[in-house]
Amino acid sequence: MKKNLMVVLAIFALQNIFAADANSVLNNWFAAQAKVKTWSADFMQIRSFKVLTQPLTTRGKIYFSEPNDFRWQLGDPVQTVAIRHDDEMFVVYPLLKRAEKYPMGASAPQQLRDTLSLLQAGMPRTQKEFESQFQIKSLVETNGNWQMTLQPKSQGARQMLPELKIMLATNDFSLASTTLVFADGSMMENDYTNAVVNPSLDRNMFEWTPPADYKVTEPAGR
Amino acid sequence: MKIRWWWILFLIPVVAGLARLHFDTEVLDLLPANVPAVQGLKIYQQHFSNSRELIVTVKASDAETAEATAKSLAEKLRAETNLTSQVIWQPPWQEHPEQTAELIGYLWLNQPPKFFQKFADKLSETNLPNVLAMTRERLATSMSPNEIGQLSYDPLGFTQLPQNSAAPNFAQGQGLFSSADGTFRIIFVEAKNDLADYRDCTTWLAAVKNAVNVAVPPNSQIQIGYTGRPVFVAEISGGMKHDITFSIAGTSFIIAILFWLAHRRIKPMLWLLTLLALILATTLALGGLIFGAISIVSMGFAAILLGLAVDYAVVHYQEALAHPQKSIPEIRRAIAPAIFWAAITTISAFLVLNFGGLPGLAQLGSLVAIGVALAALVMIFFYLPPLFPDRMRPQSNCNTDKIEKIAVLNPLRAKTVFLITAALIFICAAILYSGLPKMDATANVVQPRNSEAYATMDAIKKNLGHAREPFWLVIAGKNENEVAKKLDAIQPVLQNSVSNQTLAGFDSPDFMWPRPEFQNANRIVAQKIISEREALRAAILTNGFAGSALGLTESILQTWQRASAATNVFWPTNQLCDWIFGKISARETNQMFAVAFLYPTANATAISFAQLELQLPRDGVWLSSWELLGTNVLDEVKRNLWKLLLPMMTLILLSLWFAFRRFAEIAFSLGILFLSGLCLLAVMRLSGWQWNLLNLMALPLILGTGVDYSIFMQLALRRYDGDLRLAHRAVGRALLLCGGTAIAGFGSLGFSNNAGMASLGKVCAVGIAGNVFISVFLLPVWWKFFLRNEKSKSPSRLYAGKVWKMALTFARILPKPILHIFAKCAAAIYCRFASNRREIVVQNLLPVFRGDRKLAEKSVCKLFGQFALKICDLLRFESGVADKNWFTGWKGWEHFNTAHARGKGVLLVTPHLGNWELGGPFLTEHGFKLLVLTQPEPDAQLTALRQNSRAQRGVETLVVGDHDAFAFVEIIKRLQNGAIVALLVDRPPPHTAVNVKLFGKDFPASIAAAELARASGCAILPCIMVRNGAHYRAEIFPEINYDRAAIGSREGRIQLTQKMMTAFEPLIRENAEQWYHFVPVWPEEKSP
Repeated sequence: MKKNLMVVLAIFALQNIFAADANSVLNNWFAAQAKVKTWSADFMQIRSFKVLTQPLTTRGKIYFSEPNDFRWQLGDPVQTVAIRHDDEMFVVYPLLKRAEKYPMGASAPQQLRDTLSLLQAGMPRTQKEFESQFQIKSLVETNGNWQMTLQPKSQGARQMLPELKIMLATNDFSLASTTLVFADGSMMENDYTNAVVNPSLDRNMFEWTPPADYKVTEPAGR
Repeated sequence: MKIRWWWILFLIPVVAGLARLHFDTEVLDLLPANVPAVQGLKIYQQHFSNSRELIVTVKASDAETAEATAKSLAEKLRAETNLTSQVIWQPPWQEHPEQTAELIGYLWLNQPPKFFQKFADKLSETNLPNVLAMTRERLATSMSPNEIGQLSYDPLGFTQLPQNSAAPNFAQGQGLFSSADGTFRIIFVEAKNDLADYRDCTTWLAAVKNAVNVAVPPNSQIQIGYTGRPVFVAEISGGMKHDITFSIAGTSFIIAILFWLAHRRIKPMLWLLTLLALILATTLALGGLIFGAISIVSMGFAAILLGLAVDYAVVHYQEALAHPQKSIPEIRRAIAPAIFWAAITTISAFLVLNFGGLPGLAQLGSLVAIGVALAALVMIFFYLPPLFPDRMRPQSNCNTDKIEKIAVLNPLRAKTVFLITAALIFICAAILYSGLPKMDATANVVQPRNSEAYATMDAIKKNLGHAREPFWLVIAGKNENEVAKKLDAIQPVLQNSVSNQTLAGFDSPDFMWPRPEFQNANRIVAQKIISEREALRAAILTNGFAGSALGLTESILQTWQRASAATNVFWPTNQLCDWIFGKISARETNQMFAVAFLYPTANATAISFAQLELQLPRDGVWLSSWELLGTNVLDEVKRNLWKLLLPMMTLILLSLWFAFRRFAEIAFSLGILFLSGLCLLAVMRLSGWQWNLLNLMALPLILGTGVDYSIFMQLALRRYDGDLRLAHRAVGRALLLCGGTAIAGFGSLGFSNNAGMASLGKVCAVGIAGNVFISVFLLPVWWKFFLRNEKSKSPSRLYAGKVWKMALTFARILPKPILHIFAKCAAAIYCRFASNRREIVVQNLLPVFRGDRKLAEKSVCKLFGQFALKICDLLRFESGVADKNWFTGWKGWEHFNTAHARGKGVLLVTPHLGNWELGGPFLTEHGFKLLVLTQPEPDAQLTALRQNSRAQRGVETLVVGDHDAFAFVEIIKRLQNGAIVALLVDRPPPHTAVNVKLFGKDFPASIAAAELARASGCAILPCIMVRNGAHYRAEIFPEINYDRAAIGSREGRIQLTQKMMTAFEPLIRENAEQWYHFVPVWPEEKSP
C-alpha cells in the first residue's frame, strides 16, 4: 500500500516538473515567436515512406511573413512551390506547368484547415491558438534542443497525422526541425539551417498569378 | 329468379375486378407518359434509384462528432446482418482502396488504343528505371497529399489515366458523403432483402430506426434524418392509408351526422351508408377490372363519389318526404329525370378528363363516371323502396299537394337576392382586379406534406452545396456501343451548355462507360504487359521500392488477365465497382441505360433547358428533373386544355339543353357556374392558394355539382309551378344537406398528407359551397323573377309572323315530298326536345284517352307530325301551289243548305280539329261569303298576314279583341242579314269562356256561339275538316237546335254550349291526333 502510494506521489511529482518545464519552454518559445515578423531559412526535407527502401532527401527554402503568408520552395531546380497569401494557397509545379489552388481561412474545408495547422505547427502565432490545436505529449532536452512531441487535438488531423515533433534550440528557442509522422508510418522531417529572423522580404514572393500556359486545378473544390 | 341471374351476371365482373385490383403508389404514373421529363424520371427511378437503399443523414455541431457518429452508426448497422447487406458511410475507395485496382484496370481497357499502347510503351523494360526515378522524385517534392498517397502505391503510374479531368477523382469522393464543414454526413444503408411493398418498407424502416436510436438516442444533440425509396414508399403509403381512411370514414361520419340532424331517422341513414359503401366497393372493383392498378390520387375519387352519390339519395328521399301522398313510383317519375340529367352531366364532365393528358386524372375521371352512373341507378331504384314499403302502389289521394302554393314573389326577398348577387359580383371582381390565382408549375403537389423524406433530401441538397437539384440525362441503347455513341454525341452539347452558363458543370458517365471496340484492341496489348509481369516486379523492387508498392500493379494485371480471358464486353464486378456503376448505369437483357448528372447554374431558365434539349439526340435520350417535370407537365396540360374544355362545355351545354330545353334556364345554370367560379377565384386569391396539377381536377367536379344543383332546383321549380316554398322543401333542403356533406367531405381532404390532395379538397369545398348557396338561395328567385310570366301557357315563339313568312317562301320553293319530309323531321325533333310543350299536349290528350298516359304519349308525336303536315298544306295552299285534288268532298252539305235557306244566318262552329282554315276558301269557291271570327294572333304581323291571306280568297276576317262589344254588334247584324260566320269554340278568351264538361272533365268552352244565337236566332252548325290519309274531308253535322227563349238566360246558353261540345266529343276522340292545342286547355285543379 505504501509502495503504491509512493508510485502515485512520484507520478504526480514528475507531472508537475514536466508541466513546469513545458510552461517555461512554451513561454519562452512564444516570446521568441512574438518577435518574428518575417523569417527565412534553408531546409533539408527527408521523406520516409514504407513503400520505399530508402528515405528521399530534397533541399529547399522557406520564407514566412506574419500573419500567415509563407512560401516553401522544394528542389533545386525548384520543383514545387507552396505560396500562401491571405485566404488562398497555390501549390505550383513549375516543371509540369501545373498548379493547385486551395481556399484558406474560415471558408476552407475542415480537413484542409487541419492539414494547414499541422504544416504551421512550427510557427505558432499565439499560445492560445497553439494549445487549441495541439496537446504536448512529451518535452525532452536532447543535443542542445528541446524536442517537443505533439498530438493534434482534432480527430480529423489526428487520423492523418497522429504525431509531430518540433525541435527548438535551447538557447534562443529558434526552430531547428519539424517531423511529421503520418498514419501509415511515413515521416517527413524538415531540418532548418541558415535561419534569419526578420529579414527584409519582397512582398511579391507571397503572391502568384497563374501564367496562361499553366493548368490550375482546385482539388478541394466540389 | 330472373333477377337473381342478373345479379350473378353483375357479380362476375365485380369479383373479377376485386381479384385484379391493386394500388399504384408511383406518383409518376399520374403524369403523362409521353412527356420526355416523365419518361426520363421513370427510367431513372426504375433503374438508378436503388429500391433497397436508405439514406441516413447525421447532423452534429462539429465535424468530429458527425464523423464519429456516422462511423459508429455504420458499424452498428453493419452488425445488424439480418437487416442490412451493405452500409457505406465514406467513399468506398477510401474504405477499400484495394478495390480501386479493378476499376483502374477496367478504365485502361476502355482507353483509345493509341493511349493504351503509349502507356504500354512507357512500361518497356528499358524505360522502367526512368519511370520509377520520376516517381521517386515526385514523392520527394510533391506537396499534394493525394499525389503522394497515390504514387506510393502506384510507382508505375497506372492511376494516371489519360483525360484525367474526366476520370474519377478518388480523393474528392468525400464530397458525396460529407458537407464542406464536415458537420453533415450521409450513410447509405442497403436492405438485406427486397422491399417489395409498402409493408416491407415500413417494417424494415422501423427496425433500422430502432437500431439507430440505440446508437444515437433521439434526444441527443445529433440530428438523424432518413430518406430514400423505403422512406418515400412508407410515407406515401402511410399517407394514402391515412387519407383514404380519414376521407372515407370522415365523410361517411359527416354524412351520417348531417343526415341525422336533418331527418332524425336511423333507418334511411344506415341504408344510405350501406348503399354508399356498396357503390364505392363496386366502383373500385369495376375500376380494378378496367385498369388493374388504381393510382393513389385516383383514390380521391372516393371522396368525390361519396359527395355526389349522396346527393341523389338525399334529393330522392326529400322528395318522398315532401309528398307523403305520392307513391314511390310517382316520386321516382318526378325526380328521376333530374337525377338522370344531373348524372349524365357529371359523368360527361368527368369522362372528359380522359382528354386532359394526365393519366392520373383520366383514371380518376373514369372512376367517378362509373361510380356516378352506378350511384344514379342504385339511388333511383333501390334507395326508397325499403324505406317506404307501404308506398309502392299509387295512393288514393294522388296528385294533390296539401301545401298551399305561393305564386307571388316577395319583392323584399327579390330585392335582397339581387342585391346579394350584385354584391358578390362586385366584391369578387374587386378582389380579382389585383390578379387571378397563380399557377404552381412545380411537381411539389405530388409530394407528401410534412415529409421527413423530402425534408432530409432538402437538407442533403443544402449541405452538399447543390443550390439546385441536379438534372438527369438518361441515355438508353440496345447495347454498350449504342449508348457509347450517344454519350460521345452528348459530350460537346454539355460542354457547350457549361460555356453558355446553362450548366455549372456535369458528371457524365462517358469516361466510365465500356467501349467494346477499345477493349477488344487493348486486350492484346494488355496480354503483352501481363507477360512482362516479372520484369515489372523486378524493376520496382530494384529501384528503391519495397514489396508493399507492388499491390496495385499486381491487382491491375490480374484484372487485365481476367478481361483478356473474357470474350464479351468486360464490366468490373467487385463491390466498389458495383456501387459506382449502380449509380451511373443499368443493364437489362435488351437494353442499357446510362445517366449523366447536370448541375444547372442559378440563372438557368426553362428556356435554356428547352434549348439544350433541342441539341440532344432525339432517340433514347431524356433530360429530366423534378424541376423540369412540373414545367413540362404544365405545358402538356396547357396544350391539351382545349381538348378538355371544348368537349366539357359542349357536353354540359348539351346536357343542360336536354334537361331544360329553355334558354333562360340554361343561362341560369351557366350563371351559377360563373358566379360560383368567381367566388372560388376570389377566395383562392384572398387565401393565397394556387392552382396546381391536382386541384385543377376540382374544375369538372365544381362544374358537375353546379350543373346538378341547378338542374335539381329548376326542375323542382317547374314541378311546383314556381312555388319557392315547395321547391325549397322538396329540393332546397336536400341540396343543403348534399352540399353540407360534400363540403365537409372535401374539407376533410384538406388535412391530407399529400399537398395536392389537400389543395384539391379545399378548392372543391369552396366551389361546392358556392354552388349550394347560389342554387338554393339565389337561383329560385332569379327563376321566379325572370320566368314568372313565361309560363308554357303561351304559344311557341315559332308561331310568329316572320317565321310564317319564311315558311311561305319555303312552301313555294320546295317540292311537296321534300317539304313534307322536312316538316315531319322538324316536328319529330321538336317533339323530342320540347319536353314542356310535349307534356302540355300529353296533359291535353289525357282526358281524351280516359287518363291512359301511354296512349296519350304515343299520340303526341303523331299529333306533332300531323300538325306539321297541316301547316305545310296550309302554306302551300296560301302560296298558291296546292294540289287540285287535295279535297275529297263534303259530307252533310244538305244541313248547310237547309240552314242557309232559312236566311237567318249560319254560324259554323268547329274545334281546333284538322285544317279548319281550308273550309273558308271552299265556301267562297261555292259562292258563299264567309266571315271568320278570330282572336288576335301572338304578334300583330301574323294577325295581318293571316287576315290578308284569307282576304285573297274572299274570306273576311273579324279580329275580336277582349270585351269588344262593338264587334259583336256587327256580327249579330251580319247574321241577322243571313251571313255565314265561322267560329272556333274550344279555346276561348277568358271573358267568353264558360265551364262545360268534355270527356267528363271541366272544360272552358266559348259561350260566344250561344250568345250570337240568342241575339240573332242564327242556325248553329257544327263542322270539321280533318286530314284523311293524303287528303282532307269535311263534314257538316246536323244543326244544333235550341229554344231561343230558353237561351235568354246564361244558364240556358251554357247548356247550349255544352250541347255543342258534346257533339264534338266523339269527333275529337276519333281524330285526337288532329286536335291541335299546344297550350293547356284544361283548367288547373284547385288545391283543397
